[in-house]
Amino acid sequence: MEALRRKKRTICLFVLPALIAYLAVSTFPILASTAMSFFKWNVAGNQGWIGLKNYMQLFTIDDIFKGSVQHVLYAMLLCVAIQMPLAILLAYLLTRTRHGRNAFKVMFFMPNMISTSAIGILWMFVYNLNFGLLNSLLKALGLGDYVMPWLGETSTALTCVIVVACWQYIGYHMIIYLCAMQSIPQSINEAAAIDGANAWQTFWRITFPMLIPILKVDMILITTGSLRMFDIVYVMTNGGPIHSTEMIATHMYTRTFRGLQFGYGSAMAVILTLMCVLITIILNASFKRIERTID
Amino acid sequence: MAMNGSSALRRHKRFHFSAVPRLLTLLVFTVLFVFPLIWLCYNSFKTNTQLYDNPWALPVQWSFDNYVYAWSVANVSIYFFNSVKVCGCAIVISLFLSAMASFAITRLSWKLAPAVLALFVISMMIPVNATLIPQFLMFSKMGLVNKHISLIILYSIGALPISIFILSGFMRSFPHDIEESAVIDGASMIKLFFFITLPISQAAIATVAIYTFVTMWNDLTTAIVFLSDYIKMTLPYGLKAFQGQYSTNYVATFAAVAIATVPTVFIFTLFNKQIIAGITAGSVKE
Repeated sequence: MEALRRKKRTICLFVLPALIAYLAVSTFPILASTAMSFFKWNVAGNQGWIGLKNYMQLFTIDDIFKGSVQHVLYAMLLCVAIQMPLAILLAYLLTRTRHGRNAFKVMFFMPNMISTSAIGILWMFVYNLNFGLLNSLLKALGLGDYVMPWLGETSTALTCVIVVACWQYIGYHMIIYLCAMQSIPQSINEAAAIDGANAWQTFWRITFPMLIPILKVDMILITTGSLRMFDIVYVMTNGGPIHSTEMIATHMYTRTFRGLQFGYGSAMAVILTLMCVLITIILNASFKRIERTID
Repeated sequence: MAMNGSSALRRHKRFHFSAVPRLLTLLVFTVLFVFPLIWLCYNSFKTNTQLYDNPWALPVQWSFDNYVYAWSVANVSIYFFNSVKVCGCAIVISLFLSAMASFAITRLSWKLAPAVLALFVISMMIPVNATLIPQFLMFSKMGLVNKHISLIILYSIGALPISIFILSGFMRSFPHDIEESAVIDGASMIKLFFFITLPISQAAIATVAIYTFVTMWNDLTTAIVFLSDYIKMTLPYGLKAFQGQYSTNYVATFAAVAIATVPTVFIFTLFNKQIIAGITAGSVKE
């Protein structure tokens, strides 16, 4: 048996198809993308090595790119501020709910199952000036002065789009916390209750500290996810009006696949990936410090 | 693990939220998450005039005209079957490749197995944006752009890391004895894989299949990069194209969105346990 298990030919037969396919289609392109960012590469093909010129152009001339960096950072903050507290709250309420827990879970999670394309169009209707839910709700509440084309104004469009992204993914983050909370041994909570702790104290002194590793994972998911925000923006505003919702990924898409500037687009892809790596490192380091102070 | 969380809390629940505000909060959020979808649903049966008159009201008479229009006149049927074809092929390929690789990683003995698994697990973190441009250039050189095969390749390979992660986690858990007795009976490793490992892994394979199917079915980013002809579009891309083309026929767009939404909502209602298991496996990997 052991001899059969060690047979090189069998191992290769089973693992090589997946491995080779993956290396060729997924791993190799990452390296290629990095390399391409140092070339002038447009519709006519590779025009030669230009060093850091693509990057310099991004940071000095390209105002849309500068705007997009600000927008993704804003999206990152807003997503963390909206999604994390609500996801934790919902997960916590569900751990204390016996009847219908699964039904609530399924309903909160439902928007995750729907294509962002459908979600985006649905919310364009919710924000619609003439028949949108939001405006007619405002009218019904006597706030008719606030009625406006929410996605058509440069001042509101960005926030409105980000709110939809939050709405779609809160259920996903809730599942993560719910899973973590349910894995906390019950005896700990019981001991706290016997010692006279109320639920509020139990949550902050026991549940929350035990959630910190999962908070880190989730915060990394939220921040890197919002840095890469693309499809919801593409569907709802396509970066407009006047680039007020432009994200790094949408700008990259437009320049690369509409403008056919492959080298320039690759530089943006590299910066985006570096931002994701950087935020992951920062969060890992700061959570390490937090965990140390708690211990 | 799922159920042991509540017994003591229940005993002490008088300390915190009494049940009423808790249920009220949950209900408010239920409305927030579900009402837009219900609104979408019943508005798809209205006429445009009814929609403008009162967006909150139920349809005066329920008519399927919008669905007929979206499905046949506006190509949604084509987009739908394109999606079925692309996702169906991609699922079969990715399940096959990932089951084989997981088998090799967990049930065969070789030194590099942990390294290969790590390669797949780490690459789950790589953003799609980082690979899109070279993939596009590579595929256009090979003449695959604007063909379904490009999406089938990208979807099936894109699903490998999470599939291998879940499947190898499962395959590692069952004892070696079963295989040993089969081998004594003279079965080869290939037979063993097909007739023992695969049947035992059924549940995990189902989880992976459902989870990755939903991801593929909903993908927009890859589709807009690799497809351009209307008749080739998958449902999410076609939906966006539809919305642009028929931008003033709102109720028909409502119907098209509803058509795109139904399959995954239906699948989720049936298989929410598997899908949520997939999510938790994928996100809590660290």
